[in-house]
Amino acid sequence: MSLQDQVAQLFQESRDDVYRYLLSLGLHPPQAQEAAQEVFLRLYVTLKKGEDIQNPRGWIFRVAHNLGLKIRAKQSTQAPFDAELELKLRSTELNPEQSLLEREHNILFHQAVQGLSEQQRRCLLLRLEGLRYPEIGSALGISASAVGEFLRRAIARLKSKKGEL
Amino acid sequence: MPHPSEEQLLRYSDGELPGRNTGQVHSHLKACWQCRTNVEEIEKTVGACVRYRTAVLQRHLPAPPEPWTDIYRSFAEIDATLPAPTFADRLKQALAWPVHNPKKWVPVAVALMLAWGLFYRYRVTPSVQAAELLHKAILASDSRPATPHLLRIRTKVSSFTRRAGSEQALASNAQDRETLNSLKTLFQEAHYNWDDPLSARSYSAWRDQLTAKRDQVQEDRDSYRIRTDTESGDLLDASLQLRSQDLQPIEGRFEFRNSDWVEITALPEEASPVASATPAIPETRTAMPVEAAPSNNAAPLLPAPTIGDELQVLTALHEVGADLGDPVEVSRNDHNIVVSGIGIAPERQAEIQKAVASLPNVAVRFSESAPAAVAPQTVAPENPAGGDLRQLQSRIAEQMGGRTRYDELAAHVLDMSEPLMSRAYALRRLMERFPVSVEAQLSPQDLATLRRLQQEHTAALRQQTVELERTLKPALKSVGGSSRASREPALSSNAWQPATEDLFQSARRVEKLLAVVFGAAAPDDSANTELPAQLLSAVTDLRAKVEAYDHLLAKTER
Repeated sequence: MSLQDQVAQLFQESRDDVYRYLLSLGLHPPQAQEAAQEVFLRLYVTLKKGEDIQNPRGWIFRVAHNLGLKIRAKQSTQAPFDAELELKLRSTELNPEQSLLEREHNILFHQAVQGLSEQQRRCLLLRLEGLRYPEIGSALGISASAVGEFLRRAIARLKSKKGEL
Repeated sequence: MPHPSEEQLLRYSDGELPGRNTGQVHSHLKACWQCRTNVEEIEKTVGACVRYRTAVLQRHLPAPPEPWTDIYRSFAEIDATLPAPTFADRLKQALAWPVHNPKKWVPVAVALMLAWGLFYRYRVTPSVQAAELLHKAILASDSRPATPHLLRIRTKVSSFTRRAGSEQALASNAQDRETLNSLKTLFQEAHYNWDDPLSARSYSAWRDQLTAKRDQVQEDRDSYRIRTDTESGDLLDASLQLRSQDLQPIEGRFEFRNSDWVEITALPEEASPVASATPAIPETRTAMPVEAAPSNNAAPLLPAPTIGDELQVLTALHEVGADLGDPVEVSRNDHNIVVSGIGIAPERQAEIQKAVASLPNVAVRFSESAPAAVAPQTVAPENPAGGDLRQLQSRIAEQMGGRTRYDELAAHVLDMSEPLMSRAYALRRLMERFPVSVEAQLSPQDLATLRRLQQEHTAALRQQTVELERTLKPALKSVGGSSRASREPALSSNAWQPATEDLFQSARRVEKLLAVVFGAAAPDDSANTELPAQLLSAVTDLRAKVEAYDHLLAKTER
């Protein structure tokens, strides 16, 4: 498989995940889409220069994280993107097949995730994308042991909230 | 092994524990219903997170506004801008690999050489060295008068003193006797002589009967350390430290298949503390040398490290921020200052090693997992006033212009509380290490260093508190929160040690109230309507205490 095919395949598999992660950093959809594409092109250039990347998916999220923060910093006067997920979760039109109980459950769990500290939430989202602790640490600029601690706290908080559901 | 901590269980579930620890936790889980249930709870929460990703994030986050571009076209554009390699370049590259491309083959060659070197160093040479060293140590031991020596024995759960060859601990109670009996069984089953465990002869006899083993011999400034690990038998890893000047054993460590470990240290007769079996094992400083030297021409031993030396180590760790949340502990014994860390990433370990590398008598020990017993689960209690609290949070959200703004504020202030508490803990640790009696032993220079550390933490804490107050005030005032300044003096004492405890408790109160108001913990019995005022007052109180503390430190410096 050529280098172009490899990157294109990864793009096909991961672009939506990267795009959603960038939304979670507060980028608005057009910026997030543009940044997501930019990340894969950077990967292509880096590999083409002969650099060895052991885990391309981990690399992509690390670069996406840094690029996303840089874009947000440049546009600090603009309010971060709010997907208004809670409103969407409440909507019966958007969730016709869900029972009231399921909707309520999703809302409360969403509130619990939003209640996590920023670092805890970022660690959790990156872990959900399949990144290992050292890769998350590398993306966020913290140690792998700190990632473990943030995740522990996040899981403990969500566990206690889950008990209330 | 004791119950793994919650973090260990999460790391286990995530496949992030190092191999050996994974095996230990795995074995523990087979035997322990409680921990297995805890892992299941973690897995359930992880499952809920995965469902959240699918049912909420993937489903309800907006799709990309435009169709994705054809990435091959972008590749072509990039290729057009990058200089294309000429035929000569490609030929050169093909011929250059691997012989003329050191980047490719040098690492391989170095790795091979290192592998051979390590094999030779750790598999071939050390076995011969270990056998020779033990043989010499046995001869040296035979030439000394046979005097039974005192041993301090430490295990995971207890510490006591016994005389070699004796069945009894010096301070014998039922618990000591029970521990001694179980240790005796443990050593006997491992074919290790329990009567005289800290001797070259016993070590050698155990080592000789092993079918397969690996030895390491390490030479330090004033001692040799032989370490043998094996897969056969119940004793998997043992080490014996021999004093260079007379090859007398001074310390041994034994790790067993069932995860128990035992440390044995030789004690001087005069200074032998008669310890009892207690969970806490305070390090006692002994004025005498490690062991009475048997011959008249024995060289003097290195002086025991001082509190000033310990302060230097603390300062070095402070320089790399290892006193702010890293699970690092510093302790001092008769021989050295021990910096121990649990579950620290290899890169961070290297930074910490480097920070203390230039300091004398420092032993750095890292372990992969927390050996401490798991703390009881702190599940938020049922909250009868939860509805009120939600109302309060909704009011704050309303005043702030929406739930999203509120969530951002909640995340922001909860994030702020973590570094703030790290500073409060760092100050408290200094207080614990330097009570008045210990502080009095410091030289003026060391005292100035201690003050500098305190002042740096205090300055950071002050800045964080001001920032927190600035962030909270607009949000909480809108729901009736107003800070009430206390008429009491900010600090209860003019001595910095009790003042530190005041400061710490004040920071804890802020942390707790933040967690309650922003939904990370359940409230206590107080009325929720008062929470905003309580929180603002607590932050104002903390700020006043930090300022008074800063002033107090400045006064003590004069």
